[in-house]
Amino acid sequence: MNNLEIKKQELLQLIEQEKTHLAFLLNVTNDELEFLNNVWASNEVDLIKLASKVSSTDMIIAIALADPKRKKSFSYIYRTISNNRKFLEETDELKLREVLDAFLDLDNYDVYDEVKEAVKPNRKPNIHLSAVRLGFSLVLKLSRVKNIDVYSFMEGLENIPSYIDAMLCTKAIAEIYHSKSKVSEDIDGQISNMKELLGLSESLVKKEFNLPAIRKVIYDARSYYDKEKQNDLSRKRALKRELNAYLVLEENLSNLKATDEIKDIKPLLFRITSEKIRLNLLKIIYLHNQEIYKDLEEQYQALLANPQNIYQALLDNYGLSIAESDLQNIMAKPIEDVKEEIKLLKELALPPEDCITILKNSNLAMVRDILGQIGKGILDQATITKNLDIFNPQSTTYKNFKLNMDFFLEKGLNPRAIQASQELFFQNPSQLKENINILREYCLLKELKTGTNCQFLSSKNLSEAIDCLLELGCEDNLVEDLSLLNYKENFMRLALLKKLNVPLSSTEEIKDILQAKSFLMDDNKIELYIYNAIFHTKDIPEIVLSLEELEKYSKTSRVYKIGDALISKNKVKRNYNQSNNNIITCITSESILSDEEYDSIINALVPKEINPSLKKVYEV
Amino acid sequence: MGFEILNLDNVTEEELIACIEKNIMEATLTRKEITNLKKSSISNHSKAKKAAPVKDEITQFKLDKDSAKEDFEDEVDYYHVALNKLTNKNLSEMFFKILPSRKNPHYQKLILRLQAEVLKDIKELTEFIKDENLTLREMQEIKDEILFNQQKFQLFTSVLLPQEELTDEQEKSSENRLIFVPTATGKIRIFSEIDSMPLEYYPELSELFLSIKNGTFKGVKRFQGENYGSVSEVRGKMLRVVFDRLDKNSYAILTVFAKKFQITAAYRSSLESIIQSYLPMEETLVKKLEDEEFLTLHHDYEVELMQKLSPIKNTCQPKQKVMTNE
Repeated sequence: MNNLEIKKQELLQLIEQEKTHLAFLLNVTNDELEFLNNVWASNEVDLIKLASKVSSTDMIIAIALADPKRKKSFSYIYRTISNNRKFLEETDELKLREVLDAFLDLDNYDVYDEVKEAVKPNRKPNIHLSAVRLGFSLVLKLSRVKNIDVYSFMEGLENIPSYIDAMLCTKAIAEIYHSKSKVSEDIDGQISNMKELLGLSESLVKKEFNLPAIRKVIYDARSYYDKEKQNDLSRKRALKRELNAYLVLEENLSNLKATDEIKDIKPLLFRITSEKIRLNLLKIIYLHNQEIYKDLEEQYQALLANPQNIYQALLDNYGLSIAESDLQNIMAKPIEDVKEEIKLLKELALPPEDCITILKNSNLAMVRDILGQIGKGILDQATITKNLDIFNPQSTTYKNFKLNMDFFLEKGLNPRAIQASQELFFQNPSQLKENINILREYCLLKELKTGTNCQFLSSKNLSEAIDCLLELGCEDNLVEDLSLLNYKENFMRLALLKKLNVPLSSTEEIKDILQAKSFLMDDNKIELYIYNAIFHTKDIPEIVLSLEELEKYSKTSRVYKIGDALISKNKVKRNYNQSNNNIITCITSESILSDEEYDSIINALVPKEINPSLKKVYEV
Repeated sequence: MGFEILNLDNVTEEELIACIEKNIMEATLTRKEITNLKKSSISNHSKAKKAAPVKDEITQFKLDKDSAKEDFEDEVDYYHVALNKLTNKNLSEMFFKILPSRKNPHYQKLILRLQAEVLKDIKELTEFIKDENLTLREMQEIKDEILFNQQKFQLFTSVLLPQEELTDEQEKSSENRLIFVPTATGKIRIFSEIDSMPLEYYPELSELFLSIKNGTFKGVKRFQGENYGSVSEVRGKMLRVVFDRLDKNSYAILTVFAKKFQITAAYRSSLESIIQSYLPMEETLVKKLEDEEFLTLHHDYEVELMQKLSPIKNTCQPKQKVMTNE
């Protein structure tokens, strides 16, 4: 037999013992209650009348038992008072008072204890003679009183606080009802009749027989009885309930199946007061459940032994359905990492298939890094969601992002500067690098403000776009808003408006024109409207001029003003460095010049008086 | 995860209760984990992604955009042809007359475009001079042409300067005249055409005629082809009014028709014949513009037309009986 079975048997034995004990308690007699049942057996409603029907001794005992100050047990009180039953039954009130006075004298003469010792059945031999003499005289006096057990009486006086009141009250009732046959039923009526009978004044009668006080004493005694009766009932009920609880427990234990886990222990412990039984029961519950948990644990460990189950369960928890081949990919990573990745990716609210793709190709460090860019304000959630490839370390998106970020950090640039065009981070790094350098060459890098749409950083021929705006006289507008460079393909609109003498000064106005969906005509036809002298110049004068010498035509840090034309300095420098082109070609290439502007450049660079042979040959 | 084990020898009731309850919770969690681990959702079928249906890229918005662009080009063409007809002699007199009205919603854009057209002409002429081998005479002619276009260019620049607002009277007096072209039998064609049209067309017709009067020329388009001369139309949603310019502020009204008939070859040929019958009388009508009686008559026609097309008139009002004894 195993431990559990042994414990069960022990418990059942304990239960049996307890049941026996409870049955005994249920049947045990309550002597006090039995006595009181007899005292208060009558159906009489009037308490005083009822009391009058009870023997004096029993009433005195009943009153003494009801005293809340009593310290002695029922049997002591009963025995002590009953020892003087004959005396108490036969004495009248007057005699009783005499006896009480005698005992009072004992106390007054301070010989109470010696006298008590003297009347004790086995008294001590050495007793103070004078006390004995004095006491004996009193005792003699008392001994003339018939049937009194002095010692018991004295015991009662000492140890039963309500003894005197009980005696007086009872004797008063007896006195009242002694005259009963001669007077009417009504107590108050009896007083007046008593008065007539005894020739006493009404007040004296009322004083002698303090009916309200007497009634209260009897009432209290009765209440005490009622309460004791109730308590006994409650006790028996509790015992019955506990007994029943053990019966139920026995049944539950016998019906218990080995496979049923005991989940709710409170009902089993209900009304079981025996600590020993409770403890044993809990041990049995514990052992019983442990058997079940053993199997459960084994089952769980068996499943954990196959790691695929763990990963599968994790993905299932997050609603991610996956093919087996993909699962193998993911299982290469620790389960905790996968769990953390999924939690992070869930914040992006991606569809399940995208999550799976990322889980397959990425790792926790990378996911944290990429999502960390959101916190840094470099990438936002929408951009990441549109470019999920960034999570794949082998992807071009990611590689470009890293290279571009490294470039920014290396050059001390704030990546947030291109926050409005985050897609640039995923563009070709060499182009972005080149364009950043171009902005630096034109001293425009510091104008790159956070929030500027800088898609132009991914475009080719950024230099030409800047040159075009500079030469159209839009340098200040460009410095104010670099995003104008995003509309390179519409710069010819500005060139045409310039030819039409339309004044454009505000950057907002220029931007509106560049951004507008339609213009005066199709954009690809604008060139048909703009004459450019460069395409119709036959002989270009040969001029040797250094860049330093050109500085005298400097209008701003970025443009020359040569004649009537604005010319981009960087353009000239670029052309100059690339080849040994004629300075005129360096200056005028990619420009849009009228005949007058072109002439003014030549005239500015080639004064006729210095070299008249360089007369322009293109004149009509 | 793990169940608590107790030494039952010296254990209190409270310790046992706590342990039992803890193990019950542990068992619940373990069962849940087991269920999860046992669940198998490994599937080998790939989820076929629904291919988005390839939609036709042409949206209504694009159609509307293209249509608006086309209308603008037609308007440019209308004014540009008139501009090109100007000569040195009538430039200053006619230039401002043939320009679109300031009330035209595309006024500024039209002016700039027309100015750009002049610029284009200048460009082409300049390139021609530079690139071609010309005689001196040819060169001079082209230079004169360039100069003439440069004058037009400057006039455009002055047009774009802020102008004084015209008074109502001035506006009224600058309104165009409508001359109603008769049929061969002498009837005014458009009146019978209008009478056969449903009343709900009248507001649109009224708008089109008013646009000719105030010079805004709603949706104007010139008919292409030599056979049509300078005949043009103004266009609403449903209707067309065909007209021709007689002089600086007089316009001949040839016919009106509803758009739905445009595509009918038969109606197109009818329109052609109307225009063909008008062209010979164009010169006569121009001469008659000096005749006060003629002008008064057509003014009356105009009043009659506007009353006919008036929205108040189109409510159920009983016709007034005139010249009767009732």
